[in-house]
Amino acid sequence: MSFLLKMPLHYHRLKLFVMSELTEFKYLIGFAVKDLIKNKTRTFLTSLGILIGISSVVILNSLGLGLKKYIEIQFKSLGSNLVIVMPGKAFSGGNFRPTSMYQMNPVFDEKDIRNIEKNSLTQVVAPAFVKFLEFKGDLSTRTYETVISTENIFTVLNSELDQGLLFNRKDIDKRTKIAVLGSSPAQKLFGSPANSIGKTVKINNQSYKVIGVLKSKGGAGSGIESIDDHVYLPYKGASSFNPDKKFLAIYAKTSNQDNLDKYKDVISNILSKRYAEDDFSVLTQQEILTTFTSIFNIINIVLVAIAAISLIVGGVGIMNIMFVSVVQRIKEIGIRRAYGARERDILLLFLSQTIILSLIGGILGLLLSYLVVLIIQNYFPVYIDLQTVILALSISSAIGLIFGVLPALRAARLTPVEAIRKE
Amino acid sequence: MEYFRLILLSSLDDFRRNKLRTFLTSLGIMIGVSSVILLIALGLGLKKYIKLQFEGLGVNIAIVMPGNIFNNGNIQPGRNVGGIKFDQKDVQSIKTVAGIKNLAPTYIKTVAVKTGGNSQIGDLYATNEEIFPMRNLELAKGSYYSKSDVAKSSKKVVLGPKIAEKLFTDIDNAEGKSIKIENLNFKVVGVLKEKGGGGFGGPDFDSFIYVPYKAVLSLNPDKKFSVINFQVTEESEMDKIKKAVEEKLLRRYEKDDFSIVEQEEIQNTVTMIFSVLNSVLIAIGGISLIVGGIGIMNIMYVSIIERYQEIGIRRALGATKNNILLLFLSEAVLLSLTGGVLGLLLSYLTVLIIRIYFPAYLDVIAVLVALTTSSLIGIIFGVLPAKNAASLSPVEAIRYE
Repeated sequence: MSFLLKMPLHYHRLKLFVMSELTEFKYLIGFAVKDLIKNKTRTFLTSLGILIGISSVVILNSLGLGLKKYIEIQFKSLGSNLVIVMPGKAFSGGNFRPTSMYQMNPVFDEKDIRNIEKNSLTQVVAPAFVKFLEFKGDLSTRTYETVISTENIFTVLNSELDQGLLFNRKDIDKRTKIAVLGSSPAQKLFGSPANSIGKTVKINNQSYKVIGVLKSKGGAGSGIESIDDHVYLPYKGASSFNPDKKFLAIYAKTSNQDNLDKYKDVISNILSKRYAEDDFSVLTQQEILTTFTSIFNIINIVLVAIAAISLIVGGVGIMNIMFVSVVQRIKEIGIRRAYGARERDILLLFLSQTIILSLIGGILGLLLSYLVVLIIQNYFPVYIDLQTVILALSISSAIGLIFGVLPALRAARLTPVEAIRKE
Repeated sequence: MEYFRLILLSSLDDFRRNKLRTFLTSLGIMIGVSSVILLIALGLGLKKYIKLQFEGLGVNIAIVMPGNIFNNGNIQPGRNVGGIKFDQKDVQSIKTVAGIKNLAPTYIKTVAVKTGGNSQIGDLYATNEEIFPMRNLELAKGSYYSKSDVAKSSKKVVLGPKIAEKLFTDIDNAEGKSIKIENLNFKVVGVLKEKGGGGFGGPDFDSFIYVPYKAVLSLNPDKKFSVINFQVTEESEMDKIKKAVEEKLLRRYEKDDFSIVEQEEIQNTVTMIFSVLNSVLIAIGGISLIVGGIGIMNIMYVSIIERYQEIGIRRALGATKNNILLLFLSEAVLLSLTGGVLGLLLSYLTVLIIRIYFPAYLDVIAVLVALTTSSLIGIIFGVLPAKNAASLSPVEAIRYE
């Protein structure tokens, strides 16, 4: 009966007199922690289960957040006063229509560009013909998405120069064969941006001179194709890749982003004079973004849901251990009851222990996932937001509560006499 | 043999003593195993479903496409933009290749369709009459348009069942009615039987609006085709014929401007993408198995502490360390295996229910995976507690209060 001396049983006698809620709470936590410390291995293993569950949910969620942010960075770097004109209706209404991909053919021409340029709301406009071409540099031969356009493309896409020069109107009219590389092609083809300037790159066996390299827009190295992977050619010099001189997309910027919706209508009106309503769509970057993120959201939800199964398994583990603990402490329960503890007190005693156990797992899981996120951040912009933290903590407390109720009820419902007699 | 029987009996004895504990411990493994097995079953079902879908769409078919979307088993959606479009001249030159049974040049466009007050967005599939036998498209109502309809550019339309239902609520109402495609008036001559599917990378033939391609030339002023479908008579000749078609087209286009993709390649690519996704899901589902394993380890430690005296007595009566190790290890494996078998049963029942909607199924490999992983979990997470039990000194153990 030596353990009797260690237990602050006067707690129950105190309760018969006056005890503030706060003091009661402090006592409950104190008992729970003491018992958890006494059974270190058990405490560790039980919360380890919850730790694994919480960290897998949190890490997957932060990957989803990161992916969303990555796409956002890519689009937001284009500026919020931009509209994009595309052939077909592949992205309209927030849905992606795969069959409309067949309509993604270049239809726009220089006349459209002039018409849009003439409008007073237009700040700058650039066409783009996009094609995958093979580039042979000093170090390697690779395929890059090539944007064939005018000098305005750099203003429209907010591209900044890292090294060398951009091409200008004169270069275009002189039909010079020059190229401006994104940061990634410069790295891969010539080793570094500085090394690329003045070099000759063979594009499908035609020689082009590299005159400039753009600054990285971030998110590189993630394996997903980004704007940093693009190469830009002046449309007249590169006319052999685009003999029809037709463009796949038009990027147009207005000076004031509050006018964006109006500007969209203006451009629609200009184009509908030459094309049928269904043959083109005028989109803001936000609309394209929404289509992408809604697809990724669904995948992310499925992943998180499957990871959450491990939380249930962890919860079952907690329940199991709490039942064991109730059996082992049956005598203590009897004595507490004999000293005046009510059923409710015993219930709270065990329930608070379960919640603490589960919460420890949750907090450690959060810490672990934070460390993992720090490492992944070197490669990909993952992050944990406040919502995730709150979610992780409330889920782990909820698990403690849900799976702790049955064992705690069993403890509370023991009759004091039987419990005290138990060998 | 007798030895194993004894170990088994001792484990069962312990389970009977702690029914609730045994149940909860194997419940963890059961949940883990059944989630993994269900995901495997869904993956298997999906593979089969995709295969059936594609096979229903005709065999020995290849598609000439602009750009290079299906490159080495990767889908690169960007790679058809800025590509070329095919014209009548290409169709004529492909026609001269021997061994082609059906040839259907097709212009695809998203269009507005109207009938009465009902307006829908649909996918126009402007082609010739050869598409119907090629794709096994059967009629539910009415007739196809004929070869002479294509030649005469008759304004006749055959509707896929989905779009027919959207336009006329019941496909029985569609035949003979007139619909407006953009600004052109067409007469509905037939409605197709449902193929099912779509949405898994395969084209959704139930939603298409089929018209003779010459009838919509005003919507297609360039008179060009988005894709050219062809079907060969002999499967064995496919490679040869693909090569011949490629040579014809190379006279006018560059190598990267177009690709000739066999239906099977598209199917394989789609299947591969879903397999990767499925493996990721299974791996994440597998995390719950580790958590379940930790639960076993935890309970085994508890059980050893409770059985200190028993261990001491066994040792005193001549049991070796190995005997004790084996005793507890087999108990852990048995616990885990029970969970595995129950999990297998649970997932089998769930699969039976899912089957009503989707062809999920379990194969021998899935069963083996379930049984081996659950035994492995028992061994991996049972070994530490069992070692702990074996290393107790008999004297101390027997004296333990």
